[in-house]
Amino acid sequence: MARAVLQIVGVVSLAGLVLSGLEAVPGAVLGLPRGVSLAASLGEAERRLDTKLTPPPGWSGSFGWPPREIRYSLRPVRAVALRMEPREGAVNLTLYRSQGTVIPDRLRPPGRVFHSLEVWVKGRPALLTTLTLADNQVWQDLEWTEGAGRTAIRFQGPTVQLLGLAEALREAEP
Amino acid sequence: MAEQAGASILHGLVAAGVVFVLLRLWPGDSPGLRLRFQLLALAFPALLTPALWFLAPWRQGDDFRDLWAIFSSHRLGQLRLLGHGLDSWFGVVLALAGSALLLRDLGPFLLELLGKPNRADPGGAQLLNALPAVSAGVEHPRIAWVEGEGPLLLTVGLWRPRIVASRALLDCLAPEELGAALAHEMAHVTRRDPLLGAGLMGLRLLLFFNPAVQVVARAAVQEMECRADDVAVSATGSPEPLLRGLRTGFREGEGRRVTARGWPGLDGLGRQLDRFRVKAIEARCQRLMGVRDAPPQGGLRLGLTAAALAALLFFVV
Repeated sequence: MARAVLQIVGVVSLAGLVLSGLEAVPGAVLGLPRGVSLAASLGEAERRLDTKLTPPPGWSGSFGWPPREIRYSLRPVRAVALRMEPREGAVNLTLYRSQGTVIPDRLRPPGRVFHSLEVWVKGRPALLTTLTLADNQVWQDLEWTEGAGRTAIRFQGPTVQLLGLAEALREAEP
Repeated sequence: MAEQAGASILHGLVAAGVVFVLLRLWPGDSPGLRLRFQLLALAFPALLTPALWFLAPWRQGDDFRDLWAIFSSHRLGQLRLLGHGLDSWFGVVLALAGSALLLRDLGPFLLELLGKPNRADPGGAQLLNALPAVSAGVEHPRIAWVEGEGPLLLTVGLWRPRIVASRALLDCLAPEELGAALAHEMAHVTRRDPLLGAGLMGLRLLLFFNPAVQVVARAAVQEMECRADDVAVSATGSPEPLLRGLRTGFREGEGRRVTARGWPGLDGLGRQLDRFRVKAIEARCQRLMGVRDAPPQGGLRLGLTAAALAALLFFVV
């Protein structure tokens, strides 16, 4: 009987493993860690995050709307990564918005930090970081706290332009 | 609705897969126990899946999918093809497969259900004399007699099952073969297998989109045949008469079966259906020739399998 019990446990566990493996396939193909989802549309992301996603004010000259890609996570905090659609001449940018005090690492992959310094954006403190990511490209992160949430911009262009985009964004924030 | 259907397909496939592997590990189990395992596999998409929707609706929430689920079909939907998620594509393809599997068996089932005579014939008493001793004490079933057919012997009728036989059967089967074949049909009558078969077909119609339900229900019908075979073998004391009877009856009936008569424009399909029947008969013959030891505690194994599967499927959304 013990053998039969082991067989049942083994077969059911194997089924669980196969299902887990299958579930990991989309993440592996799309480069999505577990807990991060890819939204098929703005509407889906808004429904999942229970928040309205609006075009970043003042960015319409550089980036189109809707974003090229929307990733979101629900744990530990609800957060979204909007990979913007660059218009002609603009460079890659991802806008992160979190409803908590941190932006989850699985949503915003950490990199090797060169340096970071405090800057001021429209009279509020923000953290500017230069880092290299897994793609060996140099990026800049600018992030700040707004109310209960946190906002970050990951950008490949000049720092002056990054600060300008952040100021445009901050002007519209309450 | 599509989401519920998808969950039913997913749970059906997992339950059928687990039960299929376990039954392969325990080939010596009696057909009756194997039938119960197959009914268990059917119970998950038919009963557990809808029950979970009503009793644990929070399983459909993002938190459960994100934190607890072993498998979430939504995750598969993130891979997109021609504007639709892979979960939708899989759902459509599997639903089409399920419908095709149902149609494969629905036609012959309806013809068998509706196309047989409903009258008892006193000539059937001839057949009763061939019944083996094991059926003594069992109320003799009504026997309906058909003329102008090839060798035919089957049990029909949901509430009061009766045996349908053709005179050609007497010509092609030896007395002991006829006795074994009748004992087989008597087993169907006493166990009310036509009612169970109709119930299974009803479930197949209800879950027409679920390929796992179609395959497992079909296997369950085959198990009912094996169960009746075992009764016939006990009655005659040897598998040989039944084996010979099965082979002779099938050979003599070649070309006369409903599916081989040639439906207009569907000859190919008819031939394919006959091939399925041939395979089913061959499987029954092979089983009768090889007897294997069964592991003990069938009921306990069934219960443990049910519990383990329920626990697994709770986390599959």
